[in-house]
Amino acid sequence: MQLSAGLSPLVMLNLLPAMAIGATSDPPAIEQVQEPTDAELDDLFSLRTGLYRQIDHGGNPRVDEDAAVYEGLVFIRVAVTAHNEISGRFLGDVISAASYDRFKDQAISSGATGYNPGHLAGALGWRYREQRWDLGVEGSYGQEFAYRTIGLTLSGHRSLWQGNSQIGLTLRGFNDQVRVLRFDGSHEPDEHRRTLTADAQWTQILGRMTVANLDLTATRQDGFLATSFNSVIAGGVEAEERTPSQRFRYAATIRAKHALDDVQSLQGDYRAYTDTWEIHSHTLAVHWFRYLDAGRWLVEPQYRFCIQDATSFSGDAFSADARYRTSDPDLDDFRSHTVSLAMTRFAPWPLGSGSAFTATLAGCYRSDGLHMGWLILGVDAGF
Amino acid sequence: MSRGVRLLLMLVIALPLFNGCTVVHITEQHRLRQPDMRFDADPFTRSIIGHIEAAREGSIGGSDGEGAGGCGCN
Repeated sequence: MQLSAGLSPLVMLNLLPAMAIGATSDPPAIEQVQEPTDAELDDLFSLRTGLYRQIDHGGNPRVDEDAAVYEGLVFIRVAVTAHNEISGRFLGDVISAASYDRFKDQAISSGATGYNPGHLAGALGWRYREQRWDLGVEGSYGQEFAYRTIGLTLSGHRSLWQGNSQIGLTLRGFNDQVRVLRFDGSHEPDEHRRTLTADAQWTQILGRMTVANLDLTATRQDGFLATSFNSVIAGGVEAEERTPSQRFRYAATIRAKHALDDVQSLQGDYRAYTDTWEIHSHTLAVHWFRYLDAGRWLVEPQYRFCIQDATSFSGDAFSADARYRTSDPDLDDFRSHTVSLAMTRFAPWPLGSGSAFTATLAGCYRSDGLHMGWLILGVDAGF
Repeated sequence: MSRGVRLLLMLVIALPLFNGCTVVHITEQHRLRQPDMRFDADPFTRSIIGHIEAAREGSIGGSDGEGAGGCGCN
């Protein structure tokens, strides 16, 4: 059976299982192909493993920020009824960095925390889905040697006008318990950090080949918001970082996609951010999507540019009585250029409908010398 | 108000006007339902990348993933 390169990837996804069992009938016309039902898509097992590498050619001169992070994520989603599904998400990090090991070892030896091999987190969720409504709730827990967090997420989405519009609202709340471990190994009583976020989304079809998405996010944080083990030079000596105990953060993102033809599309993103610590940033990204090998592969080269202003209390050195002070390069000004390539291999066989292998490779150049790169490999299996 | 925020507000106001021009019937949304036309088609990889960005950029975080910073940092 010779397949036409002009067939859409969705058609290919439906044809591949038949190919695998040796079917010899001609491919059906596009109109005859049924999309996978919700039930077929609901049961899903996903695995992601990531390697993140950071190279310190700048940043804070008193901190060695060379680092490697290995991260794994497992997600399982099971439909329990026609409209209800439950999910579990588990995530773990192993971090290898001189600075991180130094603080972790100090924290363990001082008794501030017990043995802790890395960052572990998990979440359990429930979701109700029907033709127009999509409602969800998720509870999460995470811990590392320096903090614990519990979170709750509520989400609701509504489809309007034959699916031409989708609006949604997500509310997230986190309560973090932060272990106040200082740069010199001392520790103080635990503090709390609370985060509340409202995230409104609107996706709008603009034509048969074009769709746009708007996302507005407002976040309120209060409590202990400094990084406890960060240090600064204040009055000529090393001292702890200090930040305000409240922060309001606002972000707006607009994205648009346009299909150039059946096998390729373009996406542009713009994000504006501002907060009450006077950090402002603008982010632009361009993606190009291209199907290859008659829809078996989807490749996505991407370029992202980010420019961020420094917070008003960022600096290299401070007076001894400076109320707020940080030398954290992530709160300083920088420009970053990120180039990435994502690849998806749709593979209904042998894993089942909706299955795919994924790989993403990226490199990021930052003007402050903290360059980084990552490789993320994954598999999605329908069952 | 920064120029970027003003531009974004203009786009927000303009978006419904595009919808007024056309409603795409559900049977004509075939191309839009393909994986490359979905926003966040791979949320799990996006989650890991978001975790990286939140840990390294002060203008990201607080709203995604677990915890305010995801690493006990800001």
